[in-house]
Amino acid sequence: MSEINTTQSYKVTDLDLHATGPGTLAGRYLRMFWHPICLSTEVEAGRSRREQIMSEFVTLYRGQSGQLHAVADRCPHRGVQLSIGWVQGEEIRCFYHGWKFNGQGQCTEMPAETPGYAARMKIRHYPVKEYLGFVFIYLGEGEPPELPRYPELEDESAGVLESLARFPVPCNYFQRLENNIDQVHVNFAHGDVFGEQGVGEIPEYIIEPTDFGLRAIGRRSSGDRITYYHMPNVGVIAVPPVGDEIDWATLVVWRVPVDDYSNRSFNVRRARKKPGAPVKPVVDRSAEQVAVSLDILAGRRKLEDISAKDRELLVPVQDNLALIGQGAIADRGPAENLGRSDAGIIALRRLWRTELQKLSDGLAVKQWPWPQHGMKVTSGAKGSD
Amino acid sequence: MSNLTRPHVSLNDIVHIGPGTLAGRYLRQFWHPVCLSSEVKTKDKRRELILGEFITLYRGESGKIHALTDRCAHRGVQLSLGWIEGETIRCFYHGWCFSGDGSCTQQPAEPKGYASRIKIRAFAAREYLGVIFVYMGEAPIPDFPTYPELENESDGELIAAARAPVPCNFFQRVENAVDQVHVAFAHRDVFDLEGVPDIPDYSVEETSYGLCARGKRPGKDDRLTHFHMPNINIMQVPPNKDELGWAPNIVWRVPVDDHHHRSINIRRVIKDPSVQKISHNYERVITDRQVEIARAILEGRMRLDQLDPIQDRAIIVAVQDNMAQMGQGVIADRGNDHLGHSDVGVIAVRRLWLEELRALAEDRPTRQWTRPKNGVKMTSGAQAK
Repeated sequence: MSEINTTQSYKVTDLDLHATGPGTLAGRYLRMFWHPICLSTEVEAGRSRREQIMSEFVTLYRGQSGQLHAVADRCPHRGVQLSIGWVQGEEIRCFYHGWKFNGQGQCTEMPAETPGYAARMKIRHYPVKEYLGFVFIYLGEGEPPELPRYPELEDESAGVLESLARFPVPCNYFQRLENNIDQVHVNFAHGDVFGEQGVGEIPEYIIEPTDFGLRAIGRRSSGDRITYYHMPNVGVIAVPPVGDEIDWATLVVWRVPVDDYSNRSFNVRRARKKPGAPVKPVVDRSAEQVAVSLDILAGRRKLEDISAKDRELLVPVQDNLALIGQGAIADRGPAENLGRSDAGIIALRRLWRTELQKLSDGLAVKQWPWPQHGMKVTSGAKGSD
Repeated sequence: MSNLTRPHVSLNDIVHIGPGTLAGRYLRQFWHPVCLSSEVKTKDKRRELILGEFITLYRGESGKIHALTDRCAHRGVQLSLGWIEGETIRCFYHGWCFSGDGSCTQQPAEPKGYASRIKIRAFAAREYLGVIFVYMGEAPIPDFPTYPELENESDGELIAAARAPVPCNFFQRVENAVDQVHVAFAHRDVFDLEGVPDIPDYSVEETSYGLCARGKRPGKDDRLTHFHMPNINIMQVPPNKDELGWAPNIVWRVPVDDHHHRSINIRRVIKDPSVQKISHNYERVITDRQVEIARAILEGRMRLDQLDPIQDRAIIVAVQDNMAQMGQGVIADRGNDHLGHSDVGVIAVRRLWLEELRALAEDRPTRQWTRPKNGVKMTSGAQAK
């Protein structure tokens, strides 16, 4: 029997990418970054809300002042969900026996207990910030990093800001990341929509490493389609117009694990509308998109039955079909067979393995600053850019 | 017995109640309510899950109630699908016939002599105050405890309710009912309306039947509630909609399986004479809503303040209890509790249970719990001193 070599470090593989609960390698890595957790409008002043992110439940509440707070979702007394409690001032009071906590997680009152006990009780709290219509949370250790900004979306003259916290999709988040850096799939999974928009040709696909992650260029006779991947889980891409919109829009999208078997997308974009188009509230159809996708995968419906005109349903369903169809957690072992056109996926996994290996070995991980003036995406459609 | 061989009994042993488990063996030393008398008509049958076992209840043509295990000894079909003939039940699949003592009396397609060698489990069953009780333990069958507190017909109409299963372990409900402090928070709206708004000075004392709990509030009489081993609470409850005055209430917290329990309540109420009769069906329907509404609130699809403590009185107290108990998780994680001096009831009920389970684990006799001949005194705590 060979001896176990205790000096050799753990060798990170593609099988370390999907597990994101507390203490996992990818979970520790993702916890070094800010993540969107819900819409700002979903937490009203004086109200609380529960969210699940990376297998942890969090209570978000907005104090009467409008300030946002995030604490662990279990009261330390007898374990009830704190999110069903009452917001009082800037504090939240547990529904069951009235223990009260401030935004720092400090217990400030135990109505039926002796004085002194409360001062010794503290629960986890999390830094939160609001940006582009989302609540962002930092679940990691120590001081949080700067919240990355996307100047591409800060120009108010560039159209209406639309932020969506989409319904959880029942598969692992990493499948979603891989899909984003894969331009070839648009010619098949979305062949109908992208063909109609003038991006019908299978591209020559070029992946370039950058200071912030990856740049992907899909070279077609009509022009280059340029998309970006910002470590660790952000895509910046051009998306075709829908409804009253007149042009391709820049979309920034975070792919956030809910738990290991589901993920959510947080999409934000500015869309230019036809002059005089009525202002309509943003309609989030993501729950319907998931339901339809599950129906199709189960054989209860057919993709062909979705109207090609209903692009807001069709494109996300096409993505869901591919990603849910890979299984809840895709098998990245010997069963898969990558090719030359999977350059984006190969590069993405390499970046991740490199960073996780450093984390495993106790080395400093790389910083991935998004450029101060943003990046320009292109659609790849003739004459559009 | 040395410490090395002495079985270690912990709080984790209280929650598992199936056949052969420590808590399951202990609970099987007592009679438990299983459903309402009105739910099993003459010549009819019904299946119930209790203590992790399925049983068939049926009422013979004489009106007598019988309880058998729910599997036919032949090929395992649910006996509760069968037909009642006289005082026997005939299996739906191949017609094997069983009497109320579990003897097989007929096998239509088998040679004679086989039936007399087949016997299935039968359980002692009896009816009291509109409820069917079963005894699922070993012989000898203990005396059936009676409750003179509810036998006096001049105290109002008897209302028995078999509530829908709640998706969490029974012991969370047992603990909740020896915790008078929670009413000042979880039920603060209803108890405030009924004159019991304050956090009590709370104490419990051990009795011949279990625990007597006393909540002292300034200017009011003491609120006296009782816990009878192993799973019974006796207390006055605030008037429901269309009822006059606090009502005496006995409630059994019966495990369905490890992950569900149900409450079976019996109370006597004085009804508002201007209002129509309260129907038992009405009580049955609302119990399902109490679980569904609590689930919706815990998942953030609804808020408690969408219920009105006056209009929705018939469901709100149970919704609030369900929120707390379901909000602790399916089986509460007691290892992470932080108890205080106001948790004396919770601490006491856990101690009684642990002592009994230790006795059982060490083959020592368990205690005989006896109740006063004339019952116990309960008070609401709402009367001015």
